Amino acid sequence: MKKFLAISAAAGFFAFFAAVFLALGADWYRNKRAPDQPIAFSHKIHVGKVGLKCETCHKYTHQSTFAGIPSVQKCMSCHAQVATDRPEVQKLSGYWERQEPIPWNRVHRIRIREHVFFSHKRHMKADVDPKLECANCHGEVQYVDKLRRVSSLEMGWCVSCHVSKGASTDCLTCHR
Amino acid sequence: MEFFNQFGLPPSESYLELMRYLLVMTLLIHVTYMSLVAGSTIISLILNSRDRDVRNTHFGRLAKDLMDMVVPSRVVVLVFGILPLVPMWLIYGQWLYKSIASTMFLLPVAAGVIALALVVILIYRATMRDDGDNSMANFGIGSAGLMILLAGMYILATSTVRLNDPERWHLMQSPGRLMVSFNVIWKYVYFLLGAVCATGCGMLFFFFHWPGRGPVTDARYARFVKNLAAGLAMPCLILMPVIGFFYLVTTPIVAMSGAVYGLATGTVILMFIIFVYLFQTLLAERSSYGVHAFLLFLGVLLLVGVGDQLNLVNATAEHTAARIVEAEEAAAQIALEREAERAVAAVVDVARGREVFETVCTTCHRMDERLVGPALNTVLPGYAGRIDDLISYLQKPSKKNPDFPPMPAPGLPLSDVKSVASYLLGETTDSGTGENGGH
Repeated sequence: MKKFLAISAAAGFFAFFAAVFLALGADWYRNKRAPDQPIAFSHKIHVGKVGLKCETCHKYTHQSTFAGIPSVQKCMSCHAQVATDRPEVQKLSGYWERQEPIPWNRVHRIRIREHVFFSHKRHMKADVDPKLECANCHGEVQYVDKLRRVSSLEMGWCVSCHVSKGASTDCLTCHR
Repeated sequence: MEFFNQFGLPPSESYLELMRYLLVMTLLIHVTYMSLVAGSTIISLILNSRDRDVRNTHFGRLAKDLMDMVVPSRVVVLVFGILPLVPMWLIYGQWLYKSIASTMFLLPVAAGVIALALVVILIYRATMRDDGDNSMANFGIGSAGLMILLAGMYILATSTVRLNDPERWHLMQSPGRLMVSFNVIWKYVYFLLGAVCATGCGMLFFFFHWPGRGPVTDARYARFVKNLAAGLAMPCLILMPVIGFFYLVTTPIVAMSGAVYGLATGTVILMFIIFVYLFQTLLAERSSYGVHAFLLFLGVLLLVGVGDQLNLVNATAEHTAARIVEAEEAAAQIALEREAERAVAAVVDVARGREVFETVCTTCHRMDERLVGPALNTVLPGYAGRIDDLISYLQKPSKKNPDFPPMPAPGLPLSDVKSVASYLLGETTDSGTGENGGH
């Protein structure tokens, strides 16, 4: 009886941790992995192969707090003629014909954004050497098809970069 | 890293895949062995220390037997403890080509420290006496060896686990920032627990089932070994999932994937089965369970090793994708250069054609007499104005005339075949006409 109880207790203990690891995996799958997008847009093709600059589509990077997501019209300015036989481009055409925006899933998001003020413009125009590039935070997107968040975007990560670049670490620099 | 960046090449996808399999196997051999060495040295030193407080002949005997088990000779230490670090360094060098990670600097440091530790542990083992009566000096050497070994393994853990955090690679230039990381610390504690557990399972395997060694005939000593092995391994098995949890939650998200969590779950299931086997060993005194426990623990180490590599694959996905693109560009460049060389070489040279004909073809052919093959002036007129057909035939001959044996492929480069064909057709045009035949 004691032997049975001991093995049952051990089974419960190990089963608990197996369940915890599976739960961590489920949380990663639901909240932390690279999200699937309504259209399998490839940065590898557009940036890596075609050679488009980031600002071609994300045109507010130097002008605004937000980098901006290109409109369907912007996409169609090329894809009305280019690669129209591809299934993903046909999905794009569908959005255009229905005059609907594409419901992209957000990849980069500051976790508690209500308390943080972040400006793309400030960072792109920062007087640091070497100059900041999009890849510093977003990774080398020209090599990947499916975009994922490569930087944690957590405070420690921001502060370590501010320290290494000699930028202000005053609380009010980011928290308003 | 400079060395690799200067002399290395960007790896292709399939090459990198092969390297990863090799790395997992190398790590399995090395980590298993180092776990056994670390665990055995820890237990041996504790037994030595206890032996002085409480006189027990089993303590001194087991302390020595343990060291005989893991460092039986210098060759074993060299093959399992030191040599695997060399391919490991080369594989990481290829994987991390052009990265700024400090791994390529840390790995040789770790290798040096581990090699020194193993030498000191070999000395510790050599100073142990068969009667189990070991002195303080012996204990001091063993402790020094263990401390150096633990330092070496921490550096090794740092050099690999820190790769999971590519966003901080550029911030890790100072040793303090590099070495202090909760992720590394949890991995290291996991290794220490695994080391004691591996040694416990290893004792049950090597002491009772290793050919030429077991079984232990002294029943009291055998019971002592079994109880100690299972009694040490079981608490460590209980703690390993707890520490594994802390390791998982401190690992950067960028290094995670569903498979990593799946493997972690798999290790917990294996640990439970090992726990049951060890529990049965304690109760039933059946040593055969030790074989199952040890082999399953090797399975745990394999799953952990694969999980670690998956972490690294995920963390370095962008870095690797960039290198693969570089490799593809380099391969395309080489192909272009070869094509250009071939184009230059493919320029028809009739003089060269004559030279090749006289050295290669005249073994079987003459222009105006039958030899092994037909007289060429009876055959070649059929190819007049069809040089491409003649070139195709010379590249890949087929039997055409039943009166002659089939012609073997001469195995000439395309440029030589073109030159020979031009020479032959020019020669035939000059000398007359005939039937299209061949072999």
